Amino acid sequence: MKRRSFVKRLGASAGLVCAGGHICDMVCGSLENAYAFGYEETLSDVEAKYYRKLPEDVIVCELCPRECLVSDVERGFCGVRENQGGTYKTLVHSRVCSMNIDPIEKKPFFHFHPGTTAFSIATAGCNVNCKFCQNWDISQVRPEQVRNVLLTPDALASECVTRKIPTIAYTYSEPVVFYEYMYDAAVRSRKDGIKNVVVTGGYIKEKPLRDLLKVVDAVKVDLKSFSEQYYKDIVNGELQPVLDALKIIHENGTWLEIVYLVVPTLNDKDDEFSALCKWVKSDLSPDVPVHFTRFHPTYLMTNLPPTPVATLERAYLIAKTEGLHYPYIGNVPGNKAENTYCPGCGEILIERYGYRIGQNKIVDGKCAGCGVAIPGVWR
Amino acid sequence: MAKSKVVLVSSKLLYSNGRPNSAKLGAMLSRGISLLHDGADARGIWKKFARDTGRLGLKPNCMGGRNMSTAVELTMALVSHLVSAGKDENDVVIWEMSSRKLESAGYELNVGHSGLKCYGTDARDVGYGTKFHSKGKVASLVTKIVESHCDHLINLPILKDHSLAGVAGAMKNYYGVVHNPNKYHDNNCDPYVAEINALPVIKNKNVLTIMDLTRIQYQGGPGYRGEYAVKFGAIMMSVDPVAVDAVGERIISDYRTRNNLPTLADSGRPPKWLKTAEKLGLGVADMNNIDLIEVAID
Repeated sequence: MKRRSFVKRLGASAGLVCAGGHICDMVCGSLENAYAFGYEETLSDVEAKYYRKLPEDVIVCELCPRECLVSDVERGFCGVRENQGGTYKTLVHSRVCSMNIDPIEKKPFFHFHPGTTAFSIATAGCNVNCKFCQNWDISQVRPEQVRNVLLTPDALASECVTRKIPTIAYTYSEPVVFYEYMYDAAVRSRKDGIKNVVVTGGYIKEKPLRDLLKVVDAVKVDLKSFSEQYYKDIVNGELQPVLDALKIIHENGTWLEIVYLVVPTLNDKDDEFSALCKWVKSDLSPDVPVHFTRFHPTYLMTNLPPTPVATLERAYLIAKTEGLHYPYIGNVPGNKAENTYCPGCGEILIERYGYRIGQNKIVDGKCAGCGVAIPGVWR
Repeated sequence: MAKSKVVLVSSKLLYSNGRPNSAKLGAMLSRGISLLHDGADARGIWKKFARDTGRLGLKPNCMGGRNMSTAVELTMALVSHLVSAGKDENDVVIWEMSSRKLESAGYELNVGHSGLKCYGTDARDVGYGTKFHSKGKVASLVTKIVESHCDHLINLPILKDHSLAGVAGAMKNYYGVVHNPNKYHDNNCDPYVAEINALPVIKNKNVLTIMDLTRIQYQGGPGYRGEYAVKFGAIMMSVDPVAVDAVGERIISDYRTRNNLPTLADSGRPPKWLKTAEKLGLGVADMNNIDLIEVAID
């Protein structure tokens, strides 16, 4: 499919999104349907950033803390960066396998231009392997195993301008692994006044993160647990580098929100909720929104039930008790903890139902009732 | 523990015009299969293979292009033996992860309905199955070629150094089965090499390993580096893939010693997965329990 006709179908197909937000039958292509016809020619040939050359054509990737040692003809753990004769290449620059126009609340960002939309894109690949991944069919595959569309930074910015979409969201899979594309697209689209937000697991090294923060406007980090063991067993990653990344993002002044997916029996203990909230308050700020979201069984975790709403409400109460100002409950449409409440007077400031916005009583970044400043990016 | 038999057949006259000689390889295959079966008549054994293997998949290793992949001449010599013994070539597929890899190694693609087939998992209407397979931490989809197209498999690996696994041989060759091989490289590929080969869809279908030792590479792998590649002039056969890799590791290590290179262990990549494979019951890793039969033919 040509890019133009692909994008034209985008708007018309907005209702066809699956849980993760990608338009399955139109764009992603399941592995079932993957075939060779010309697809390899569409992979990119752009030199990757952040790697070090070693003797005999071996390289060390310095993008994420995994620091893959990659020999000639091999790929890193992410599956989308390949050593070609001693030069590390990204195979997914401008190769979009999933896109949609989403409410910004879906990312979720609750304190960043509420009620607006984000042109949301992803490529194949991920640098961890969460057993509960909702989008495993794009995150846990190689780029040649999905259908990709060529969407250059120029074309992406142009689509946003034409459609009057104020924000680009790098999301669905793991933007860290398509860093070069994300970076170039952010730099390019900013020239047209477009905002850029990143939805990530935060498993990234300091240098690329700091460089990225210079060109993006907000970051949502999936803090998957507050336990190293969970990261090792369930995520195939590490907790500490994610905590380090959270601190860097916050200290940098980039708008930050955190999602904590509550998985029954695995990361749903009161002690863990409490430790997490204490850490956010002490090492970040009580003003950082923390979304406790509901797990639904999928991928390799179909043996667990959806998170009981009572568990999420317990997490919410613990967060309030620990002093966080903006805890939320996610994936439970209609729950009152979807709303934003003023920490000063307790009034509802932004009313939400799922991804829809009701009233918004934030005026010039302040509560219209009591005048307390509400942290966020409001305009 | 019963000893595993491994047969290594070599020939000093294997090469002609820079490529291994197909007829010579055919003779080496027959000698090898005979020795593997206690000297039984090779024609009878090929007939049994032809009859009992149903739809048969042959898995070469084509990562290294024309320079360091399973020789087309070896694969076709095997096909020739099987077809001569009554195998319907419609029931044989030479396969890899991608068709491009096969082509780059010199294989002629055939994705049609008749004749000897040759294609990658990425060929039209192939792809991966929908069921997850796992014997450990990582789960994968498996190519439909293995999951449903083929009843049995013959593994046709090469032998080369590997920067993470230490050695890439028989068991590493089946990384081409899964959709996400990049998830199986941590910790020097241990226990992942073993776990992939422990998948029932591999373990129960693989009936023979024929390692192409016409050329080997003892350093700088898995990509091709000519300065470390040598003409070894042999093939190795066994029904035990672990034993084949154990002997392969010995060959690589000998060459490294001879060329004043550090051992694989000193290089930080001992093939620990050999012992893991033995523990999983996939075969024999201890050289003391391997009956290595070496013969040379003219």
